Amino acid sequence: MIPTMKREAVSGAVRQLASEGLVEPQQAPRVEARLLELLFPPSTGDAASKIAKLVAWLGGALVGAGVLTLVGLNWDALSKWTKLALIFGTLVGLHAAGWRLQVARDGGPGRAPGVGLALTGAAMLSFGGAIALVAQIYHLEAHWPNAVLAWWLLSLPFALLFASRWLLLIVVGLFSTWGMWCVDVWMTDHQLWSNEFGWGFAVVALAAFVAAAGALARGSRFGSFAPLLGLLGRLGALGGLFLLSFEEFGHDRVARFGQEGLLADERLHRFALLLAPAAVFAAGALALLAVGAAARRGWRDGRAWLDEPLDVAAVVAGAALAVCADLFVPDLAFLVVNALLLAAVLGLIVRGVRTGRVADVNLALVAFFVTAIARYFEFFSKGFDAAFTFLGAGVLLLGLGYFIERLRRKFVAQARRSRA
Amino acid sequence: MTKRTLFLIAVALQVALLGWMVASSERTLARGTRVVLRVRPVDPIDFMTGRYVDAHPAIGRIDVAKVPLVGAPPEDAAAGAAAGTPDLSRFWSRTVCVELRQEGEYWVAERVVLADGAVAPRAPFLRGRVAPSNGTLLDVDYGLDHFDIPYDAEDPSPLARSNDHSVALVVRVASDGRSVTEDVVVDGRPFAEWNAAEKAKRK
Repeated sequence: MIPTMKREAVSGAVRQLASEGLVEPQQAPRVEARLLELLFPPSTGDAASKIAKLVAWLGGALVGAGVLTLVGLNWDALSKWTKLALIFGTLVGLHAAGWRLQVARDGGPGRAPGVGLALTGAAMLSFGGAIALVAQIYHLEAHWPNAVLAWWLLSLPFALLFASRWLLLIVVGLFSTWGMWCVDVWMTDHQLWSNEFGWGFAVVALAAFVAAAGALARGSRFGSFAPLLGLLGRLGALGGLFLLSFEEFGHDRVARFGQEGLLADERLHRFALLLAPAAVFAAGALALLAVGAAARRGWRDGRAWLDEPLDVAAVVAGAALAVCADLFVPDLAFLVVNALLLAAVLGLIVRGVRTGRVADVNLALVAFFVTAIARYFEFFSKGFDAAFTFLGAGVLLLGLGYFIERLRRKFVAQARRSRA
Repeated sequence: MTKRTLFLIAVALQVALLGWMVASSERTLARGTRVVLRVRPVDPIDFMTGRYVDAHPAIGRIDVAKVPLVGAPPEDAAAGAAAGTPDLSRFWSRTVCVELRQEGEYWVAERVVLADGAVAPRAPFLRGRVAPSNGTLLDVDYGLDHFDIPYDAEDPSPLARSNDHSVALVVRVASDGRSVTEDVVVDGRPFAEWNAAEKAKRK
């Protein structure tokens, strides 16, 4: 619908130019056709091929889920060696079929690349099923989630080989599962039961790691991964900040320790334990950023530093600020996190509008409304403070909007004057 | 290197990992010492591997007042010695080798040796990881708790709470302390046999 309306607008504009005598009437159809060609390039894939790819992916996901479920049922009618042969055969067969449908014998594109990619995705999921089956047959278990580590690490080459963002999505999902599982083991090992605070920061730092992977990809032959990784990083960071934005959920138990002295040894030790997973992820993010900067000799090319590297720096700096707030002013830490969330939302909207990234603007708006609704329910029972907070924040935003609009008008007027 | 070669290497890496998991387990099953451990099982579900019996071995909790703990560095051994009980929190997450001795039908802990210390453990021993422990009770995680069972299998857990029945874990222990669960034995019968008999009874 929208492209049709835009096409009509272009046609109308060309007719108006012709009626004003700025374009020769006999040239108008050619100008219109060329403008439409330039503004609306033919889509790389038609609707049918997109639907076919999506349907194939749904099929691949179901095959993967089926393999995992079959393994989970532990069918005792099959012997150990039959089960092993089946799982090895399924894994290799799915990989082989995926390859053959994506790549022809002569190295050119295969007969059905979309279906082939979906089969490779199913093979990646089946690899997890294969690990689980071997663990089931031999009753193996591990303290740390090493199986999930092997799962994402050995699935990553396929995402890179086929340069597929769908496959990358699976890897990022597995990586995040592994990261969160490690945090859970850490919290359990250290008997940190009141650990929402540590979880919130771990999610934020894990998101920074994903965004840093995007920074590393940008400019390399895997540059097409950068926007997706960046978006997932921003999504995760907003999710983590959201967890920390609750007054009682993420900070109260830390605040309780504040009564014993903000810098008491016991409190600092607990702080260090809770934040250790986040620190590891953040260190990993900064290391990836450094590797990316070294490989690209800095972020000087164009405005590349404004994308994922800026995201990583902002997330790590914001999290560090929130940690300082939790350390020194625990009662106000949630306010700092809410202010950070608001700043992130505004930053994303500004950057999204300037660079034409609709996804960023939508993400920021969703984050804003979800946070506002959460705050409404969180503070509803707390009397007038909540009402005044909402009113104050609303007036502040209205004032900011007025200021930006005035500024925009001033700039537009200046630009017109300078053109004249 | 061509894309095809890279693809084959990636697939081979996945198959190699699975092959290594199978081979190392088979090797321990074939050559390891067979030990039987008393257990207190429960029956939960794992989202990847399905139903399993949480067969926690009795030697997962060792009273160091009764079973000697050796090989600790002097500073760790001295900690808590004045109070008469060792400070077990110092050993958290450390690897220990629990030497085993047969006592009737079951194998029990003979001595706990801290891994990579001055004392070498005597075989057969189980390698484990010290979990958070209190007082003189040392909790050790051997990674043996998982005994996977079919989705429609009978649950032997309630039998372990009765004095008239016995549930035991049969483990193969390699010479370096690594172990693989071979079977769960219910009232002296292998799990598959006991399960088939229980199912037949219900029919």
